[in-house]
Amino acid sequence: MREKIAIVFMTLSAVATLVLGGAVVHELGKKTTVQAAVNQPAATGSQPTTSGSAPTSGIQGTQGHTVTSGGQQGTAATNLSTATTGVANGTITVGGIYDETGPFDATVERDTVRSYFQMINAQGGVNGYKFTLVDCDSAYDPTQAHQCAQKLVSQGVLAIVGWLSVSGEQPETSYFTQQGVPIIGGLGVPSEFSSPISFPTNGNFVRYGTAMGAHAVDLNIHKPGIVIVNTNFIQPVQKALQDSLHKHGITESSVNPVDPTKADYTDVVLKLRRENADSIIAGLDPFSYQRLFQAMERQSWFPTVLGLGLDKASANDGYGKAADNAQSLTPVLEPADHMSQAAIKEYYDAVKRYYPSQVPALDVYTEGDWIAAKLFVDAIKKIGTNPINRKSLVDALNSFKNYDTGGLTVPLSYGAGNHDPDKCFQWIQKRSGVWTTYSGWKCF
Amino acid sequence: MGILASGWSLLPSFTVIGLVLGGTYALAAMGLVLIYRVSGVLNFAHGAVAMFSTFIAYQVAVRWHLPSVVGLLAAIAAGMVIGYIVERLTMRPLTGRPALTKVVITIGWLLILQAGAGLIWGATSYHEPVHLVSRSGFRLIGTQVVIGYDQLTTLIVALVFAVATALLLKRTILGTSMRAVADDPDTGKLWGISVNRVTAASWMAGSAMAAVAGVLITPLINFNTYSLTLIVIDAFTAALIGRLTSLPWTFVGAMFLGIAETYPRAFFNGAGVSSLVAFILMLATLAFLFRPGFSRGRTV
Amino acid sequence: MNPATARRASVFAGIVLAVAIPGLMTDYYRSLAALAVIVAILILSLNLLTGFVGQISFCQYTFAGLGAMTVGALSGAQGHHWSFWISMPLGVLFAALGGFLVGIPALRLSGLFLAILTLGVALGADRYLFANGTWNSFTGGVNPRTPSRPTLFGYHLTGQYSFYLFAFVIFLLVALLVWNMRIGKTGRVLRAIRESEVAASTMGLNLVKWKLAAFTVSAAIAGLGGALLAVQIGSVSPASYDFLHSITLAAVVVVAGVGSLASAAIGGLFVWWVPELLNHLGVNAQFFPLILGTLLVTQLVFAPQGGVVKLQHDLGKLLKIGGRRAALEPELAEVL
Repeated sequence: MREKIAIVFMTLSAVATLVLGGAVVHELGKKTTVQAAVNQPAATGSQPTTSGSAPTSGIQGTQGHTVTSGGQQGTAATNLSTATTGVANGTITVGGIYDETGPFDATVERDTVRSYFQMINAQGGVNGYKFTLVDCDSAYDPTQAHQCAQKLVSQGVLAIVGWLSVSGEQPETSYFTQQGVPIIGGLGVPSEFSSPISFPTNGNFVRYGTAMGAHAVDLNIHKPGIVIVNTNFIQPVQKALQDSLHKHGITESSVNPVDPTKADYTDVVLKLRRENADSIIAGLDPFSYQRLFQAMERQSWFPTVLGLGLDKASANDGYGKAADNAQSLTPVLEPADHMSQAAIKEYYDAVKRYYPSQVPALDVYTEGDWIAAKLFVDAIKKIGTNPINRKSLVDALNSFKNYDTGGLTVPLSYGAGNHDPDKCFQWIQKRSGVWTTYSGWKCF
Repeated sequence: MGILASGWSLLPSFTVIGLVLGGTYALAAMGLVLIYRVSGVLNFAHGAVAMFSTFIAYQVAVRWHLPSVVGLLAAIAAGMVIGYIVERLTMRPLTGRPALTKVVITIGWLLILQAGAGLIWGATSYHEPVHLVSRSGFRLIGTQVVIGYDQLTTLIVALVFAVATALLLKRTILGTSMRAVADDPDTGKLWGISVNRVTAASWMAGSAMAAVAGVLITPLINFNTYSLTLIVIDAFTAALIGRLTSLPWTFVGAMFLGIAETYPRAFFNGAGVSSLVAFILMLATLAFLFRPGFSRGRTV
Repeated sequence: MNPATARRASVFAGIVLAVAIPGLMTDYYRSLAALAVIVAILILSLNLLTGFVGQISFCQYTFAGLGAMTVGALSGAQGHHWSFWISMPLGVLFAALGGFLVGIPALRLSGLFLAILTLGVALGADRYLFANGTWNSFTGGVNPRTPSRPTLFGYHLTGQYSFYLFAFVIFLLVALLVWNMRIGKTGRVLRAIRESEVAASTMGLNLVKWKLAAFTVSAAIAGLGGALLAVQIGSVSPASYDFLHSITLAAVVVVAGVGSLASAAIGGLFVWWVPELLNHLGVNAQFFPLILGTLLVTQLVFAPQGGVVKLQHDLGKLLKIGGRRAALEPELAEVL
């Protein structure tokens, strides 16, 4: 009896081999194609797994080299797909890569985009379409970010909207560009400003460097110690900062790149104090700032601090004394002293309604991604009843001139070629525990 | 990695930093050594237990806004419960099996605790730690060296633990029972000692110490689900220097490790130097302090 | 039916299914299948060490990382543009060297302290060797390397299915190697060492040579796995080869069982398909290490020889297929 089972089994296997042997031979000669749209449920974050076509000629990114905006990446703009990728069954699916686990917490950016979509969906969507965001966790690992990118492309998302992957954005922007996937929003890394299908809504980090150098003069800084987080896009930012400082006659005492997981900043504080730095210019993530400020407090050393992205409420809880009167700058409107402004109210209300626990974590980057979601949906509105695909999306986005973000930023203009719409910052300072705007838009 | 000429002048401050770091390691290592001495199991999940208990403290003190001390007590209770569960459910049934099996089980517990904390509180980095002691610093008299109150507390508590545990083992009945069980459980049974109870007690005590360590250490390092879990490895090295049996030597070893890891940072810019030192020290202790044939004397 | 026929039939059937099924999948799942196969290769590397020499290692991914980063550094777009067929063997050799170096202190350490040593190696690599700033020309630092797929006999293996078949063939070759070692002289020697080092040395076996060889070959296989990972994903960064990956691998090996080909394959599937399943169900990804840890703990308390191996034994008993071959399976219980 058992022998019979085994024989039947082996026969079936042999038949299957013959049938599929042909398929194998056929397959080996074929090149892979991007998969058609598949309606994916919005997952609550996942460990990424690879998919789709592997990059054939290596992903050329602007990694680690000095980048000025204007470099072209691929000829994707001229052959954008008109397939209905990401648009099916009344749902428009976009994707995003987020550092959801590990040293960064970008779940708030993901939830901000989702809040906007849920707000729009609750109002009935756009022309009968509802929006959904597929997320993928890159866990501050550029390899996982790459796997995420491949997965999203294979799953067929219409575009990338409002992503935040600290180590993934710089390399994957060129991958998405090569694959013809438009990108809207993001952290503001240099490569996002040198792709014709990337539509940033935040300030360029390189420009942050220039702006901070110029602002240092106003703050009467003479000998700053620079502390910056070591990521794969920081080199041009550091250079811009140093160039700007030198141009204004300021020489830094030292430059200290640190790892985002650095736990104890006592050695940095001691070093800067020994160098008689009169201030600290810092480019860190919110929670690294916390550890820096705590080390300063332990050492009772309170020089002037100028940093970017300092106004995250949840991080401020742990800043302590060292951050009192700290200076920062923001390319988007500071919510803390503009809570009654309509656009800010809409933003906070939506996040409060759909993800209330994330409200304290809102910051510069979430606001940028909120604007990205808004821009995307408005582009879909502009397409109207015409077919919605990547080409029509890019054309719609490029048609936006002086796009009004409700005052959250200066009016944004896009168009053919690379995009760099948000060139302006406002100075803010933590006064009596509240982040206060004290300048108009300063453009660089 | 450039060499800082100013390194020498930073030495006094860096000595303090090193001692504080050593205190951190010592705190983490105390419970570990206790558990090993009595039950023969090297608990790889020790840091994870500390981490989970600290999250309990966080939940109580930060989320529910109760006083920090209540959070600390909750953490200690949590540590004891976890220690008991691990011992009762997964160590006791495996009596007689080689130590390696039990170590692999603790790896399983490491995964469970880490994933569990990630599921309950989130696997991302930011959580505001429980501040038992104020963060402000004071200057050591006569020097330029400043130390934070929270840093000093870690050091003192580590020392207290070392002394207290040593006294517990030498002077109390429970402690004597523990040593008897460690040396020879069968004879211990003859004397009426409940081996099971004593072993469970050692796990509970060790895990409670881990909980205290966790709550004190987290303000000084990153508070997330993995930093504290990984500190167990540095604690291992300290414990290895103490030959896994001597608590005072573990304390000394931890101090030595802390200083050895910190001094290079005064001279070299790269952060990896500390890790290199730690690794070399671990290698050295494994190579020189443990000859082949070193055994605990029994398989539990 | 006699056990040899049953064994051959099931292996044959397994191979057919493994080749055929991914042919029916979409590209995305094919790449998952390739990843599963590569992890199966890594599991085999650990099998070699655990099943034969009775040593457990928590740093296999470190060796895989050495292989992967060599390929990344030499074949990546940012590095040189050497062919995969040059960088891969170099990667394997480099990993083998790593295994050899770790094997030296491992000689005098037994189970528990060897575990600590390998843990220390994994963490030392994470925090120093692979850390940003130490050796950026090798690891890439903060910038990921991007090696491209190799070309085999004129076929550029960019297709997901073709690369899967390539990886599967390598898996079979490695499995053949490991199996050969097990039933051959090498296997007998290593098993003797595992059972009693004292007796083995009394019989004149050069313990040092054999244990070092086991470490070196095991690391070499892990390096091969890493090299394959590098080109499968197309991106190499140190974070993917860290301590947590190594202990996950060790946990999977214990859960699935040591010494069985099927257990290696199932282990590989487990690592890549369970998270995917969780994602599909919308469940938080953290459940994967939770499930793995729970399985590991319950496994060791109730079924120490490993789930798959136990299943095979039970199945064999059920079908009355047993015999001599089964006795050659190194039991995890003997190891742990």
